[in-house]
Amino acid sequence: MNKGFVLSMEAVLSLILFSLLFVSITPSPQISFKELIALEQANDLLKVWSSNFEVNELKSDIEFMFNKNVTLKLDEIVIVESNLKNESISTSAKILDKNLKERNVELIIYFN
Amino acid sequence: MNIILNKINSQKGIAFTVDTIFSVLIILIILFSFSIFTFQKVTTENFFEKQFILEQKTIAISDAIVKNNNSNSFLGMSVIDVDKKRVLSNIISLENKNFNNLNLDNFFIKEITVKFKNNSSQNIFFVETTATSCFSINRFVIVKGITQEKAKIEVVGCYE
Repeated sequence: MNKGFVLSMEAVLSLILFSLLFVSITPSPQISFKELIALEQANDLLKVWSSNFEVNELKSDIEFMFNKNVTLKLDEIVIVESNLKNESISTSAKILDKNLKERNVELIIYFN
Repeated sequence: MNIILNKINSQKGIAFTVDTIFSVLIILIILFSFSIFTFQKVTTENFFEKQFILEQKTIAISDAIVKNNNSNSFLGMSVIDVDKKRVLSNIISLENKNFNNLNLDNFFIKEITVKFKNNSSQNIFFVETTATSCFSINRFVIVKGITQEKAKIEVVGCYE
């Protein structure tokens, strides 16, 4: 019989079990408020616009509040488009303008 | 020398074979690595938990500031529409500036700044601190004064 490193069946089993134990310990998912913050900020914009709706100020308001990571649709027409296309959250509202015309505003915020 | 070794080998006692020493060593290494792993995990979890609570409280305070009206400005700076008998969400007044102490364990608000759209800014609350664990959030509001101006209000919360 050649000399060598011999592991018994029990040893092999325990090694397998131990490696399974290590693999099973996965890091807990990092809970982040990024999504909530993005949604809150988008809703802030919609609330402000609902009390003071100026079509020509929408773009500057978005640039003031967010960087260029927002897509804005006004009545399904894209007014501002983000170059980023990662994780996103969207919110929309129907706002009455000064002529009491119903405008559909949708904001898509890309975060991460 | 050989005589001494033979004497030792022939003595009764706990016999450590190479296998046993090897397995004991492996067990010790496993226990050591597992305890380091657990320690690191607990440390990281503690850090993230603290960060989570910090973010949660800062968001809650910022939400209260822009949505409520309260005698303590930390809990609300919004304007009340007397005719409609309701608080106007996201419309704040800098006249409602009365910051009283908030007792939220080691959490405190370090700074509140209003940054207007015309690039001017106004610091409405500031506390000198050496705290390094801080979190800030911006909220979009209308600041009601003589005129109405769009602005973002930045709330900075910290942990002592």
